[in-house]
Amino acid sequence: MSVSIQTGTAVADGAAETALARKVAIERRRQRQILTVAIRLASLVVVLGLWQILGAKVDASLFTTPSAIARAAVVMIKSGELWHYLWPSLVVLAIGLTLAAIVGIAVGLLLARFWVLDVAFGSYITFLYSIPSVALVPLIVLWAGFDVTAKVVILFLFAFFPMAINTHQGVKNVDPKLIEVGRAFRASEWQLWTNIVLPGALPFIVTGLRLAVGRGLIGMVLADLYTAISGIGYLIVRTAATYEVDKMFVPIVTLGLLGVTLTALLRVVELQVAPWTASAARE
Amino acid sequence: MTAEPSTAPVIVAANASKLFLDGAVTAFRQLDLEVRDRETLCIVGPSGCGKTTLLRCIAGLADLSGGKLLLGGAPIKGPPQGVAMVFQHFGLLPWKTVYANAAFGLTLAGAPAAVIRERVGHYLDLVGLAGFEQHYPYQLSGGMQQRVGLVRALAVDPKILLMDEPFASLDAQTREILQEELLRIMERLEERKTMVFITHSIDEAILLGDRIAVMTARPGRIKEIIDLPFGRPRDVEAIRADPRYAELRAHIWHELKAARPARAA
Repeated sequence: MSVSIQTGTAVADGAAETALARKVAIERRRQRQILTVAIRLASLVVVLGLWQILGAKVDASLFTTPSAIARAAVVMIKSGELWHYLWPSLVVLAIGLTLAAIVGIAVGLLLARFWVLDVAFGSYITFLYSIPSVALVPLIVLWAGFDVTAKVVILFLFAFFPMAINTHQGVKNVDPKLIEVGRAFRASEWQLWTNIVLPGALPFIVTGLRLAVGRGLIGMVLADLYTAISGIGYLIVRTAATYEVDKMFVPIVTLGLLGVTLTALLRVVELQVAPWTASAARE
Repeated sequence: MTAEPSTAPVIVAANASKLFLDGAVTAFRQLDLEVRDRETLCIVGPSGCGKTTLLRCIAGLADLSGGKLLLGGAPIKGPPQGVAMVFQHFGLLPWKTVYANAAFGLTLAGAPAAVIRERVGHYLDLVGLAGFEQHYPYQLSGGMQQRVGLVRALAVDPKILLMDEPFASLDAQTREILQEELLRIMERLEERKTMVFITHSIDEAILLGDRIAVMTARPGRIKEIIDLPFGRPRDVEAIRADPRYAELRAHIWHELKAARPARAA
């Protein structure tokens, strides 16, 4: 009798305890988040403040202050100048990255699937990836000229290799135990790929995409700098040449924001298509 | 002992051998074994005696190096139909929900959606996982994950169930609960299957098996086959209390100790 009463209250206590523990945990997480934001803001204020003070002491043709950059940004956005130079670069980025992703994933998958292709072509990819891509830019300009085509090719060159190599690695790293599970349940080759190999390689492919975006941004600016007719890289060259340092920092900051945004966007995509990897990362 | 009289053996191994690394390592050699229709045959042996390799050969995941291995009279070439396996490592696909994992075998076989829904629902219900269909494996405990592994195997309605130390990576309490659940499922007449159950736990073998095959250490061979005196349905508590349980346990323990090579002792 007394036993049953005890267990009864124990269960009730248990439920209350669980609820309380969850509440405490949520509260602690919330406080942590607030603190994180506060520290970031404070840090930003201090850094920008120091920059403002020190920047004001340097010749305006060599360095600038955050407030001057903000003023220049407002002017450049209002006049449409920033957008005028940013847009062609974004187009090049979009086309180059899309091509690099499609071709890179396809090549990575083919090399991983067909042993003969891997032996025949794998070493070229490793070799080409080992060459700093910058070294090939003059050659591409020689072949493709100075217009959009050349820029897309340069960007493709920067973004393709991490895509292909990561996809290849991803397929090679799929847990052989899971492949065996597929075989044990009589999966066909196609079923094995769609059910196990591709989803298993997905985290690597997403990592490849993230690397490709980072390298793609470098390729984009480099293509602008080298061809120097249009694009955001050209804006940097032109403003630097005319000692408009405050205006020059506007595209630079824009590029930083672009990189951060794209990376964050990819993380969101990753959460959507591969929730299990996110949970592993959280633990 | 068991309700159904055993007729022709379902699985026959005759003089079977399996070598690894160009013959440097022998998993098992001159192995003879018969598995009867609808019996539970537990294979116990020291680690590295080749019992898992033998199971992989029956599952068609590995080829023999020599001898014969017949399933329903025909040699095994690749994963055969009507055989399903439960893995020690669970082998759930992290990117699929509980439902999709449980339905894996049926989906691969191209079963109609209605059949999948009915069968998977039935077995998920049976192991108490109804309501967890949309969870992912990482959200489940080990015991729940292996229940999904069991449902995945049962859902394809196999004639033969291959169990590769399915409860070995679970904690002691969960292991006992799952053993009882498995007994309960297999005791429903319509669910009764031929089962080959690999384990290194003597207790598990006695509780679950109709017969126990004791394997020697590498190179593995069947040392002894023991008919268990316990009928079905089984009451786990009663079996543990049975004096014959302790006797059997001591006997198999002795056999395994003798089967272990002296240098490894």
